[in-house]
Amino acid sequence: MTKVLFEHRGKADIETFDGWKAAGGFSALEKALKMTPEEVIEEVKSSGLRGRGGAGFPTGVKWGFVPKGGEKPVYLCINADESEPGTCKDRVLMEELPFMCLEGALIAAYAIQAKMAFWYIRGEFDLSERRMRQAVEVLREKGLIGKNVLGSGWDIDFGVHRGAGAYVCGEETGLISSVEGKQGQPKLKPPFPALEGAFGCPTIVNNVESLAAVPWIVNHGGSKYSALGTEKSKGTKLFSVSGAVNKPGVYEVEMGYPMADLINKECGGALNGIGLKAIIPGGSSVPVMPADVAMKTNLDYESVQEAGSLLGSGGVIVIDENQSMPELLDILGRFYAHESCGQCTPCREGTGWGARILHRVHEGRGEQQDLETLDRIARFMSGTTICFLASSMSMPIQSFFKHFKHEFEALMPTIDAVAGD
Amino acid sequence: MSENVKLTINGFETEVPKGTNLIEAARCVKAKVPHFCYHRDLSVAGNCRMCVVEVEGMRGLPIACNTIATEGMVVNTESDAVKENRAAIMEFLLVNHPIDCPVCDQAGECKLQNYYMEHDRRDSVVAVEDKVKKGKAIEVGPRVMLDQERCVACSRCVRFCDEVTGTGELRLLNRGDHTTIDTFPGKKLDNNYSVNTADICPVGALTSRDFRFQARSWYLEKDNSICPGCSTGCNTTLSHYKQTTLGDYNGVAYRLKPRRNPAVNKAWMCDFGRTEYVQINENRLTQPIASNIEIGWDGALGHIRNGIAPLLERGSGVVAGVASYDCTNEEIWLFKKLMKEVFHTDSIALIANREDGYSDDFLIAADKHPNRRGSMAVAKGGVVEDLASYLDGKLAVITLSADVLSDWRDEASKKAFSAIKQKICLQSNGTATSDASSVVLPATSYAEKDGTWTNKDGRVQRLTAAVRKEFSVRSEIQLMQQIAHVMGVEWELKSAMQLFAEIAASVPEFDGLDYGKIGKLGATASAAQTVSA
Ligand SMILES: Cc1cc2nc3c(=O)[nH]c(=O)nc-3n(C[C@H](O)[C@H](O)[C@H](O)COP(=O)(O)O)c2cc1C
Ligand code: SF4
Ligand code: SF4
Ligand code: SF4
Ligand code: FES
Repeated sequence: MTKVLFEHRGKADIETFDGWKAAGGFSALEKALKMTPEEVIEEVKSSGLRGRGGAGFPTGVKWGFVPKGGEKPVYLCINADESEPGTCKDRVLMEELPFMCLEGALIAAYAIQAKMAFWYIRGEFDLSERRMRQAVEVLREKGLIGKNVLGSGWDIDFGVHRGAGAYVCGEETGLISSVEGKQGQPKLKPPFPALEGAFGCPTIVNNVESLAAVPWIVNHGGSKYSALGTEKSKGTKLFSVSGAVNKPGVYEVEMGYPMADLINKECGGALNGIGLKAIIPGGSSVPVMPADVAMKTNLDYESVQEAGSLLGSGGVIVIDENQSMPELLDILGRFYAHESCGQCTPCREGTGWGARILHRVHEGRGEQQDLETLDRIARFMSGTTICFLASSMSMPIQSFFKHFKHEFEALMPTIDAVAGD
Repeated sequence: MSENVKLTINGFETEVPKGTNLIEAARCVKAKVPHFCYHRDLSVAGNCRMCVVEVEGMRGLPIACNTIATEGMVVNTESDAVKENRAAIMEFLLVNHPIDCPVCDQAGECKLQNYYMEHDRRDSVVAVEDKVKKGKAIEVGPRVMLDQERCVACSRCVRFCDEVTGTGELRLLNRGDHTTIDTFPGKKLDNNYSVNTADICPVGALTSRDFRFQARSWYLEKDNSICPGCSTGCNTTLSHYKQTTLGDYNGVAYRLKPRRNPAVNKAWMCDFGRTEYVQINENRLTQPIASNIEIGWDGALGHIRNGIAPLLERGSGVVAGVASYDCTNEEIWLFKKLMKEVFHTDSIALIANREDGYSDDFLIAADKHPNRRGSMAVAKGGVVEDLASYLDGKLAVITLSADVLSDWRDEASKKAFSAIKQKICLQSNGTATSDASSVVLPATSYAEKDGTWTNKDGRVQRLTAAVRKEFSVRSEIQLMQQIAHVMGVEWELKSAMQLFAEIAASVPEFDGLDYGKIGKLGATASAAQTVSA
């Protein structure tokens, strides 16, 4: 199977400049700088690369939204906030292949003619931060970051910023607020960041994995990349597999790869041979799938959606038969309630309220209307907020109820017990 | 000329200027889109989510505050989905709300209460002990009280301090349902405009400390007024006790709030101006007095006649007339006429009652009088500059809301004034001058009279008689006409409106204006000319 992102993973010293250079690194940057920015954008468009941060928006198309020849400076933000539960692919990329990531970001910055880029790293990612900071320093020394990069006449600088531990700062406008030094709260759209982002200037936010694929695309050509994967989901994708499997980890497979193969071949099958109950295919925010449905699904945007969930960030959470679903949802509820930035009424109130109810239901202290109330909370919390965090709690609630309602009902006190007082 | 767009809202076609959002556009067809966070004079935050509407061709329910009307747009503000969502937002807002309406000053004018009645009306499903607890009765600033539990996190107050005053004291701290409105540690909400945050707070989270527990809002009647505090002339709403069927109207004023006027003060006023209601209630002159005796109206007026008529026989110019920049244009106009036709004095003195004070580059002006510009324009020609020499040797003096004896006045003027035996004083509140006067006629405060003031920018604004006093007061205009009458000069009785018409006909600064044109928001003469041209 063709590897795009992990082609050089594991090679000696690949995390160093020399190691990356020896593996052919920076040839893509050199090539890109000889192209016009528009040509680079076209190349990436033709690759069919879609954003790997979760939303799956075509990367080249997004770059094309930046106004040409505007007076304001353009910014690139690299989204390395990776906080979606079940997702740890960007971390592997930054720790093991920092120069590849940086090369991709440089090409992106050139394509949108940014003169400043911000690498926004999740606060807990200590090694990632050190690797990226070092990589930026090295490239500065080598002249690949700075004035007139490789004689192209284009200047670029990079800032490395470590977050303070907020999930919502991974949302692109929350990230921008944070970069601006404000409270980490998503911004109302419109205006969209490509027109009015960081400091009121055009800004592109891209996920690390999206950018990490760019050097390969420039080297091999967009068509080579689009030949991989399926009709609509091109290329390869990283899947962070966690939970009840023998070999959890980050795997690169072609889009459209069968879930069953990922679990059984790559991950060595279910842990201890215990039967699987459910799989969350794209990070904790996407709908849970019953294991039998999930195991028949292929890993591409369209197939997963058809099967009732979303590919999201590719965080595959594998759940075995012994796991209580109310317990799992209780944990997720607490996470979202803790991470809601608190701006939007439905999210601020709904996440906390929902979490409190989920907790008492899980503990067997549920009240009569609780499951109905949770239904209502989930329904009205989604789709009417500034960012998708609120929906990210709705989707789990709705899907857990859809497939595993009986487990919740079983925890509800019986009428007899209630009648006791 | 700005371009317009046509759109349909709830089946009605309407036309609005390009760039208008759907909350404002809906107002044009008399549809009310409920909202907490949106405020016309602040940036759009879009966080409360109460203002959702349905727009054909748009996915989901967009928020009206951040959706701009476009040509051909079809909007429904009352669809089932919209109503259901509004009710859901109300339910969310009430999850952690303390609902302490009985002890909340906002009750009766609370968006949360009102919207609950209009859009929700369901029973509470959250037990009190399950609610998130926060701080109550926090003295967040010298003039503002904070109840964090009542906050709906709309960020209006935060945006006010960031965008209007630029002082940035407030923040919504913490996250999720622990989001809490507060100041930065060690900071107070103490800017000169701080009480505006209480006005725009849609609930009882921020309230005025001055108004705290003073009156339930439903017992208050609200009338338009103008702040007398400085020459900016912020438009205000004056709350005073309501006439009820029980007849317990007590003429007490309770508070001033800004009244929106885009040309003057937008939706704001300063904290100093807020206190200007106190003078309506306190230290009032309540009885006609002559020689320290409560003598009644007829007695007092008779006293004036008996005292001054003989003096007039000694020639013209023996009676001095002193008015102040607190007077209305109509009062100054009539005062000049009174002095000339009744007391045979061609010139009057126009004085400041207060020294210049603090000013800023927003609303607060250094001149602490509401009508310097108008008084000067109306009195033009007959104004004397030097008060001391003007008063020197006069046999009688009539003061109209003029505090000649105020502390800071030059000694020469005070001496010249004190030397005059016959001192007739028309004013509303007790001062050193009224104390020293031989005849005191209790007159109206700015809240009890009709008339106009001209602010520093030449904008002529209306005062209307709102508060009715239980004790005996008469308007200055009425009193001046009665004085003329007892002095034996027969005038046709005129109202403030008629006097204004006379002013408009002869003073250029008022050219083309009348009370109709001035309306609630005031007008300038040049603007009036453009309209009539
Ligand atoms: C609550 C929330 C958290 C998010 N966290 C991340 C994140 O940690 N990393 C990321 O790349 N994208 C995250 N996203 C998605 C970003 O908003 C954005 O879509 C993405 O960074 C765009 O990059 P891409 O087009 O390269 O995928 C998050 C979105 C939401 C709503
Ligand atoms: S949906 Fe939640 S996290 Fe997102 S902006 Fe609104 S309150 Fe903040
Ligand atoms: S803020 Fe409104 S709803 Fe809340 S206690 Fe006060 S009056 Fe009642
Ligand atoms: S205190 Fe009032 S104005 Fe400020 S955020 Fe809370 S509800 Fe809004
Ligand atoms: S008024 Fe539109 S979201 Fe609050």
